[in-house]
Amino acid sequence: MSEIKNIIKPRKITKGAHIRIIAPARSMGILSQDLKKSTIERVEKFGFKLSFGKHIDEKDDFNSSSINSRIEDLHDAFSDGNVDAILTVIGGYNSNQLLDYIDYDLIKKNPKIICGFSDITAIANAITVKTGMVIYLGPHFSSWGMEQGFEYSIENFTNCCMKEASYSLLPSNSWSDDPWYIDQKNREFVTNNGYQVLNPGHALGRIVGGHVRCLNALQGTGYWPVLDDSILILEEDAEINPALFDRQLQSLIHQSDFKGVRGILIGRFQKETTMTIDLLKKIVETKKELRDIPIIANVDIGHTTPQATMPIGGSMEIEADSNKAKIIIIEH
Amino acid sequence: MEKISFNQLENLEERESTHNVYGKEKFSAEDAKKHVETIINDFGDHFGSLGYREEEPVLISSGVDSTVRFVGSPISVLKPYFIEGKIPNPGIFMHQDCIRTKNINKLLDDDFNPAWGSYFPNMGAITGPERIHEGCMEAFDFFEKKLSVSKKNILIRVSSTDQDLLGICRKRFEENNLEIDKKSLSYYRHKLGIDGVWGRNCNIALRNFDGNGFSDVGNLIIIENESSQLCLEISIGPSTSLKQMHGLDHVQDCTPVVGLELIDKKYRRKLEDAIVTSTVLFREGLRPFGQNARNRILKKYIKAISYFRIKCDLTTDELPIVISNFEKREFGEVDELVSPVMVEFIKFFEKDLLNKGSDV
Repeated sequence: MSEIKNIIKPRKITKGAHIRIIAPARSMGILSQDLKKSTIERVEKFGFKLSFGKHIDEKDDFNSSSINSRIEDLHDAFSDGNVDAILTVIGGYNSNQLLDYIDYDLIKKNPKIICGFSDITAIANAITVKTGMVIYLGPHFSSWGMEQGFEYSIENFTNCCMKEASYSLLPSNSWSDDPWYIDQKNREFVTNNGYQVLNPGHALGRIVGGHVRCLNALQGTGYWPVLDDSILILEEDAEINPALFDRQLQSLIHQSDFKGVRGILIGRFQKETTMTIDLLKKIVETKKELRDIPIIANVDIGHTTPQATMPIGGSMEIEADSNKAKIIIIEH
Repeated sequence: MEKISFNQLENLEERESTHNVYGKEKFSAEDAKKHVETIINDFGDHFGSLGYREEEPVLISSGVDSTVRFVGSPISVLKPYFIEGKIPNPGIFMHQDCIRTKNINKLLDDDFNPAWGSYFPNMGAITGPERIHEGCMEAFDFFEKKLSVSKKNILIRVSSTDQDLLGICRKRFEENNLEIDKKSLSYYRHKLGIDGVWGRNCNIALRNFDGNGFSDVGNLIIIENESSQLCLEISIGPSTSLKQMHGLDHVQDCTPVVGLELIDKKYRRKLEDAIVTSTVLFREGLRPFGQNARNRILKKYIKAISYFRIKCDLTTDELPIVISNFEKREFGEVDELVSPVMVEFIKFFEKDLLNKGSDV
């Protein structure tokens, strides 16, 4: 089993930073020209300068590109001294293809912020395991194209990637699960009822996890993150359903080092999953291994919007009782 | 003129106990880092000018030497050179920050007063087996010529079973400067964590500033195996040397934690030790997470800070200031201080400590 590496925190970025966009999962070619254009405008208006990986628009039968192309863009982004940070275009299904080809020494010697989510979970946890570098699960480049309801995402991206101080992760005021990229004007927002405490407790740990199925695909590999003293972040997309989530969670519990998990955060499920808080409570209650672990659900991580940025490899304190839940991102 | 005997000299100096025999003064906390850097630079200048090649230091928690949890001596970094017989002529020198964690298991024992801090800078050099005599002389020169320590203030502690070392010392020093066989044999022996390889050492001690007695500041170690000598290791402690020459109260005054002067003496040095060691390891990126021995040891130091903070009535507002002041002074203006993160961990463990009782 891998041992926990010394933490490497990439330098925080400021407005004016040079951001390289790469596509380690699906291609930028799947974005509409309008969305691409407006996203570039919004990111630049925020204050970042942009450049793009050489192969970012390549598109194969799987809406992705070759391993070589994706690896070259990833390595170029880390080795280019003019690049301050990296955003991934969008998620997908195949970024775990890259794990054996990544030059982890190159990344260790050139630490910089890289941010994306969903399928990027595989890369994030692998890089943290191999180098100790903190990787950020948060908005993709494409997420920045959202015209409404993105303020919470920006605020938390700023706290996590542009400031040094520890901060409390507060719940968003409202959330949405609509296909915003199709209709930016007519959005449906739901008032957020806040965090849901499934189990009370107090824990401090190293942040591990992300998209559950992407994380579980690392089981048994050299990229599996050590769970000792971890706070597990779990989120899913619309392809999951309650029974499938239960299976994934059970699979995690079967890991030999699961007893090292100190706390769990579960991201809000998309409507299509049919997951409810009651069902989630039932799933958790069936698992004796979870009884003494504080668990907070309905966190703004994952595939509903807006979303918080989670520093994988960083550290977090959670405090949960029946009245309140507190999440403090200590190190990021 | 009648030559004054060594014992007479000692008696004379006992009467003048307020006088520093090196003509130096204690330095302030603000000047401590400068003094440590100066002696390390002196060491580098001395051995560099002799043609020794400088080796870069490594992270204490790098795991570069699998036989120890933390780098506790430059020899951890230099081992490959003598194991492979590839010591460049005339030798290699380096400065290496080190941690030895013997203190941690007794830190909460009120009767335990550590003479050394867990963290300390160290200076080391190795030279080939054909240069053992020259290497020893070069080490003696460092004290006598570079640091201007008078021969009368140097004592070599050596075993008569090590005739080679004793012979070298006798060529350089008077019998008055030699303390032969006053310690048990284990004092003159070194383990290196390599099967079939050991060290035979004599120790260099400097007179206490008030003239009374001596204290070790370094050693010369012949590293060998059953069939041959592999190298001479020269190991010198900057903080132990500075303590002797400047009459410091404790070696930890070379890495002082300002703000703890008024707390109970019983706890002060141990709290200092825990703060210094934790800060150094946090700055290397180590965190008190997981089951790895290095991480678990750090967790003990962090819990010790919580324990002593409570014992010493240091408030949760005061502690972060003390730690961050130490970090700023010791490491200068850095991009990111680890002290705020450390304090979050301390607060967490403190809560645990109060809830569950100490398991440090």
